[in-house]
Amino acid sequence: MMENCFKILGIDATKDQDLIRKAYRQLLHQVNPEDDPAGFQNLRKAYEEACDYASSKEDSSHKEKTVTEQFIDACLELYEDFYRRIIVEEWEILFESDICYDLEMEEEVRKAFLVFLMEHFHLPTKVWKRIDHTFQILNHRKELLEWFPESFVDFLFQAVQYDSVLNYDLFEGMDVEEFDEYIEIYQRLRQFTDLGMIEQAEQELCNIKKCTVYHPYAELEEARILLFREKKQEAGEIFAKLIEEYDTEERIVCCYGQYLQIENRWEEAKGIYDPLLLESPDSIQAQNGKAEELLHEGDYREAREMILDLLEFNPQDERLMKDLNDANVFMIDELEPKYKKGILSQDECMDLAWCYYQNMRFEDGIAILDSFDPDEEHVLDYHNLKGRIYLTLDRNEEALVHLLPWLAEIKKVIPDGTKKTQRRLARLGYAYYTIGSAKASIMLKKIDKDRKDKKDIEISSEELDEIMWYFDRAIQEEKEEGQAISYYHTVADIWRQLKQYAKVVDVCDAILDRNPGYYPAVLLRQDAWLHLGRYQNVADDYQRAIQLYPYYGKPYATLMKMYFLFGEYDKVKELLQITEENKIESEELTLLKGKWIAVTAKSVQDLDRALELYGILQKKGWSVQSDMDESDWEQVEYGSKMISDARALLLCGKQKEAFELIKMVTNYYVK
Amino acid sequence: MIIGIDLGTTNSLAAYYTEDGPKIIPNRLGERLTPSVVSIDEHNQVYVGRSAQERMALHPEEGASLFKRSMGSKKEFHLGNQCFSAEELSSFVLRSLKEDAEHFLGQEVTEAVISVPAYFNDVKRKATKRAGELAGLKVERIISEPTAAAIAYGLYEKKESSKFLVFDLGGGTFDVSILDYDDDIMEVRAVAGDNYLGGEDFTNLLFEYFLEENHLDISDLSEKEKTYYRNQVEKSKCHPEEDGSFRILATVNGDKIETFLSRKEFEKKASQLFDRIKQPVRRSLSDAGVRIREIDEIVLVGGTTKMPAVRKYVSRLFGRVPDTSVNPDEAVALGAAVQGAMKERKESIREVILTDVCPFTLGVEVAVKRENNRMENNHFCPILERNTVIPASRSEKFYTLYDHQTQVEIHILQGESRFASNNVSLGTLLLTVPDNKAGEEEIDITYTYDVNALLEVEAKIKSTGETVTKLIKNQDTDMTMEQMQARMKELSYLKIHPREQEANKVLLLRGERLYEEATGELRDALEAVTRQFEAVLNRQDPAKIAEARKEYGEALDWIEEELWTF
Repeated sequence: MMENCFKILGIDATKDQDLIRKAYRQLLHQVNPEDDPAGFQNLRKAYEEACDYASSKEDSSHKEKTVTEQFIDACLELYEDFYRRIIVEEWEILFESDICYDLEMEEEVRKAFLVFLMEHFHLPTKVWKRIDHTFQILNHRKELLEWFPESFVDFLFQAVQYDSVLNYDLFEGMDVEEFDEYIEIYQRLRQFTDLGMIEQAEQELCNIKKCTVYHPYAELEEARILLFREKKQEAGEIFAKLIEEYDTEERIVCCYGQYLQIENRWEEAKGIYDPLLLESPDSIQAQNGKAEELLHEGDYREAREMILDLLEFNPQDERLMKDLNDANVFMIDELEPKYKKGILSQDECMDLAWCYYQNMRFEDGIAILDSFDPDEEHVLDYHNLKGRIYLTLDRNEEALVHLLPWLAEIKKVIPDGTKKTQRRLARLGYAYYTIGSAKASIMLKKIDKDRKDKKDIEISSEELDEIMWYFDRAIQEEKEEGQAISYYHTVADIWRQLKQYAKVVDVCDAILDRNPGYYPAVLLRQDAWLHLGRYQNVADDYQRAIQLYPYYGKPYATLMKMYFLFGEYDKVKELLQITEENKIESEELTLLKGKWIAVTAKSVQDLDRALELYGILQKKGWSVQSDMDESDWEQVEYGSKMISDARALLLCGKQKEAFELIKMVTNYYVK
Repeated sequence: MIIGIDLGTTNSLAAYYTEDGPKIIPNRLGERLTPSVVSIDEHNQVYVGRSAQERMALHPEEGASLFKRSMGSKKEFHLGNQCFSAEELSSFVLRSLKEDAEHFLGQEVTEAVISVPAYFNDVKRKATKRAGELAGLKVERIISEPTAAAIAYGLYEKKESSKFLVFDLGGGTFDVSILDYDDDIMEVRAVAGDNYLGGEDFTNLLFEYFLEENHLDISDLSEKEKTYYRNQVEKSKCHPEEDGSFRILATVNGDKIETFLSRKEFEKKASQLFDRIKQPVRRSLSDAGVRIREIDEIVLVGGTTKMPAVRKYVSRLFGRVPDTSVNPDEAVALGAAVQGAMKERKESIREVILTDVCPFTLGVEVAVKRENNRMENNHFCPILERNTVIPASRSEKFYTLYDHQTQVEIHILQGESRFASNNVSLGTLLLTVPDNKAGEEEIDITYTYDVNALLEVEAKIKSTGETVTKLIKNQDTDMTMEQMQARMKELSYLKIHPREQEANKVLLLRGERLYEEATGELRDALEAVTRQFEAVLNRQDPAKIAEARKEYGEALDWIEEELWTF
């Protein structure tokens, strides 16, 4: 073929590009594409083949490195020197080099560097931010997806957006080979301690201690593990030692502070956050600790203010909620007697009512609010609070009586820069959300009732449109990303309850688009796929879910249900083994295990084992805490009865009938 | 004679070839550029160019401009009570240019070479060709604008060998082309571009700034006010101050107002637009395998390259001052005329052989097998890579996906994304194959691109030898021959305003517009000169009319200037 192309060109085979080109151009005069398209195509083909031949290298090992390769080599060299790798300025020097800005080179360099990151990613957040600055990650998701797998792009986003778990500046040690391994062990160690999986954590602690590299966070984890093991004394010693050296290191100070507070050693804890707050006044953990300190000293009004400020940006933080609760107890103690004497101003009445609400004393809250008509200044807040209380009490019609005027009042607010108006305006999205929620609850309750009364279920599309309109507005107006995502979550759940699974998928897609790591959305979507019969997607979302967080039963359970559908009991068994190895427990998993034992049963004893598991669940009974819906819980009774009947049949020697019956247990999902 | 036509977003023009090289054909007003604007009055009289532009200011709902941006789309333009597609509106512009050429050359003109942006896709190219046919022109060739510009430039310079980068920023489209001219062979090495970037975007930027500065809400403005403000903004854009700043003069709520924007501020605002220039430049260089320093000439084409801010940016981008020796407004039309002459094999022309490339990657949608044997849809498999030299033909083999699959749908796509859904769909081909196991039926798909960059797809089923061919058509806008003739007939009832009265009409429309803008004494003066001119027109003495027209024009110039003296 190669010879043929040179024949067409009318020259001997050569690697001289100029010669080939000259021959091509000469012949071009005879086959002008205008007149002889076929002749031209033939010539062009020969020309391109000849060019390919000329540019092919016999031996590629001798070729010189390209500029891009040289750049990547420099990056690699920097990365390998751990203590240089963590300095932003070192990277900056590299990134400032011309080829990162060269019009012709920048794209190639960018791709090469991102590929480099695939295997070299243990870097402090500040370096990641600098990488984003030069190589444009956050603003170019779509473009990156053209080049890289989605999971890697998600990883890049996480790395740039969120703080790394380690403070890289605190490393000590000389063995450059060890750092990356150390970091990986630490990440596992930290995860296990956070999850309270102490045995696994201890194992990793052992591993990390074998390293010559040192980082104080490892000791912090050791102290936390000791606390789990009730060895307070030893833990305290570690904390004390660490704090001496690192008195302005956020994680160390805050862990120690919390420890002292839990131990009621308030005297020692006093002022512990001050140096840290001086250095980094924005540290949320330190502010939180400080608020607790103030609370303990009886300065609960100031503490409460601080906590409310913090909650503004971390609305779902459990520790802050608890602190608020504590502060409220003091407030209530102060205000309640005055209220009974009838000497509270409207301002104070509102404060007290809020405290009741936050501390879940809803009836007390309503009683106060019923006792006065708000003046102009308090009308917005009044409706806000009363609406919320009714909503929490699931008294949705009454809630709407207040939520709608609350929304109307917010719309009237004119921004004037004060904290008060800012807070009021910031609730706009939430106000829409509460109205949507109240209306949705009313609708869902009616459907539920119709279902129980065995009436035809009718969903008014107008009503549904209106509800969704409120949620849309809520999501649009909400400034706080986490809140907006939680609104989406509610919407997805409403669609799930309406059994509109395609909609569930759409909403979950939207959530994951905004936050690829939002675990509940993956679970909801996986379940929706199962209902839609999109089995490959069920398996895909299982992978995704356990990559995000492997210690929750739901994704395993959903996948198992799918395998039950196909009768793939071996796969179910594999999954059950994985959950058991990882000590993952849930009611749904118990049920599925019972089911599996029943279906694969060979003897009466096997059925007894299955019934035992069903029995555990029956004894417990359904509660809101269960990971199963109330309607799914029916399977416990139903399944248990089937298996008992099968057992009886088996004892009578009616094997065939017995196993037929058991089959029905598994077919439950194929409704 | 084959004329060359540059059908632009904002302006259009025609050129022809003479023994002394290509020349621009002046229009009925004696001007070289004809604005690409169409307007229709209540008597179904069609106005094109300056008169249409003046009418737009008075009756915005009866006119349309910038329609090239919608070429080949389903978008409908409403002019008065009639409805037109972009190609139909373009056909009016072409008809007007054709009439002007016939008048100027003193012979019938039925053939033309029409230029399109290099980055125009198949659908848009075909729509342009149809616009020519609707105007009664046989379109001998669709030529890429930068190629045309490079031809004009190459012949003008008469250099033996040279590498060009043509930077074509027009009213609505942006193209970069890299060409190699050597020994009478013009090779297009690579093209890249952005179909939605041009001078209009800079106008929009200034327009938004103007509205913001004067606290005007676009939704409160009438069509007429919008057109008026936009015109004022456009004027300021085309005539920036010496230092590159902009002064927008306009009457807002009865007050004469000057809105100022410094060069620095403007550049800051335009930075996103400038950023969009970078990507195509980069891609064309890398596709051509050419370094910037190997480029001999950087040629600026398109009216927007006359903006100082754009010139400055281009100089910085390439690290050198670009060449502007051929008027950027005219280069394309001149090149198209040369191409026309070459088509006719004019003796006086040096024969130049031209090889062009296809601007987009073309391929099909496929499913890809992933781990665990699962199939993933929505992948794009390229068959003809972008910047392949055309005419060209490429084939790929494909196989059935499932057992007992008897239907195969071939989804023809154009674009650069590896995901099918991100690319543009050009159509589908449905094949019936024998019932067989998955992967047992083989289909050869061949894509052929002709010199006009029009695509043909052929699919051949190996086992049966059956062949299905499809010339790609746009299902939404394509017409059959009969439909086309019927529409031509309909359109021909719409007469273009008589050419000999054009100059008078333009002036009268301008007078009418100024009347609306002026107040007090100025308005009275305007009224007086207009009456005078109308009186002369009624006497129908050509010599007197010409004289009066000159005087009236001067009077209008004076009034317009007065209008903006503070």
